[in-house]
Amino acid sequence: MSVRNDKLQMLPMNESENCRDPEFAWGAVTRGIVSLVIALYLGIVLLGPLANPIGSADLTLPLSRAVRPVHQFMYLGHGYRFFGPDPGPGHLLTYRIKTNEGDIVEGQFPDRSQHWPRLMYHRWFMLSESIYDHYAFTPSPEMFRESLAGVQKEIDAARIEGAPREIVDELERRHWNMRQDYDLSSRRFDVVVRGIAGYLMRKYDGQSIQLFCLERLIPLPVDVRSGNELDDPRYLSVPQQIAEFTWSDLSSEEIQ
Amino acid sequence: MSGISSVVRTYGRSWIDFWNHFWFEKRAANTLALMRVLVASMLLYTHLVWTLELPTFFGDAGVLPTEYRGLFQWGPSYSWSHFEWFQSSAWLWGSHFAGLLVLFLFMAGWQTRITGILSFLLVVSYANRATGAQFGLDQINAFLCCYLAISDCGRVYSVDAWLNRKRGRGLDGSTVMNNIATRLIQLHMCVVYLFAGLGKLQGGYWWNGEAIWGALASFEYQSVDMTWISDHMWLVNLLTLVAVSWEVAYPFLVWPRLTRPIVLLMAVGIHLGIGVFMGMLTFGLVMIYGNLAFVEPQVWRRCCGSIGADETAEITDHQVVAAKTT
Repeated sequence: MSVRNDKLQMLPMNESENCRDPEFAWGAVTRGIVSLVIALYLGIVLLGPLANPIGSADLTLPLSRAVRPVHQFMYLGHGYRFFGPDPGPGHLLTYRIKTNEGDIVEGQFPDRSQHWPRLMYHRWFMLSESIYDHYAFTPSPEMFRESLAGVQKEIDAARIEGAPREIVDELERRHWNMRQDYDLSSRRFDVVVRGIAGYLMRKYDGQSIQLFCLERLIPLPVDVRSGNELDDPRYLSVPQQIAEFTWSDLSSEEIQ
Repeated sequence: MSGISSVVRTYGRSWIDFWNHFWFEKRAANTLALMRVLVASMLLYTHLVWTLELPTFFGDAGVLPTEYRGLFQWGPSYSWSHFEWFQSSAWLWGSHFAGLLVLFLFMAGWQTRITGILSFLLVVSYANRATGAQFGLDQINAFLCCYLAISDCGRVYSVDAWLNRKRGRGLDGSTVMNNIATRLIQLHMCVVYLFAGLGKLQGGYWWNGEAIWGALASFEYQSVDMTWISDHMWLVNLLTLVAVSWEVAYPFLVWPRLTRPIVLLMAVGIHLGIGVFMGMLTFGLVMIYGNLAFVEPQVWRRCCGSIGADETAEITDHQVVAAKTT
């Protein structure tokens, strides 16, 4: 009896009370089947942060791909790296529209004066952050071609030198993955930027639109102590134009 | 040899006992019922806010083209949204208001099992369609709603419980499903904190103690001016180290009775801080709601009395005895 009590004191929650009732409402077979389901499910939950944003190529990434249907159906598979690894600068998206009447409309998101309540402001903020991520992590076509050519050179050199087949295969796989990843990320960026441009063009009866990304750096404590405000323009980067469209650039389906 | 096998058998048996008690004892519904009201209120608010910009984020001509969310991986996408089933303004607005009604009914606890499952599907559907504009709030909303939906959280503090009492049909508020749902919430919260903490350990600012400054001095996040804290960087350093240590330690210290209240009180403080000072009150609150899973049902029984509860059914006998003896 004392052994049992000792064991129960180590249980994490209210087990010690409940153990006074030796009966379980469910039979052993049901408990066994449910246990398997629970163990499988917990594994699926864990695979999310173990594979996102980074995972191991030979274990968690392939396993995560295998359970992707469950992750996506149940909205699991997130990395949960809130404010990690470090709190970084904020990102804004600004636009400049020339309307059909010849006026110029300028705006940005997120915009505290327009986006209310705070949750809605945060939705726009997250959208500008997503667009910046796509922009920052999609190399320019020139840069991409250059890095692809570098891998191609390695493949050619390996073939000439008679390198083992495995090495050549690995290099070819890398070459293929680079092309696939670039294609996917550039399409993702293009699709969302066109979506935003089309939406703003319709909203303001635009003739043409330019979209820019800006980064707002976090001031040093010493700067703030010396009187600088957080929204001081000196902390804003030079706007980088990320896209420019006219009506004819956007397909008729997207506009209508 | 027989001695060793006996030890192994005993050890294995103790693990099986532990597993069975951990997952398969009955648990009263009080905690989950309170969580249902709070989480569903958050879901209702979260989705009510979408009303202000529904066509902008969910419409065919909005900022997020439907093909966008399928471009995050190669191969087929299993991400789904009911907004894409029909393409009309009537469907957009009709399904939105029907969805809000479902969330309200789940909060009130009417047909709780059905409205719970529908609420979970709605939360996932909205989050998927708004890919690019979601954040941690949607992730926590979704899994809390999922676990509440599979529980028997409608047995107390609900319209269902009130109707049952009126019809003279008392339902047992303590069920195994309540325990499984509670355990899943607890473990999922541990996973969230563990990886949030480990992710921070990769960053230099969490080690040199300046990360909290980075969060408080971000103009886009700022909702209360905290720049005065730049005169007290020792406090920033302390808060940073406490926050990251607490997150990493959470999965280990939230289980023992001795440390649990401290860990939970810190959760309330940290999440309210994030909510008030960084303008993410919704996220801060839903994280606090998730932490409630670690509070015993008896506590709510003492606090809330018999509000909407079946007097005979809420707490199992052994839990009442335990509550009296502790």
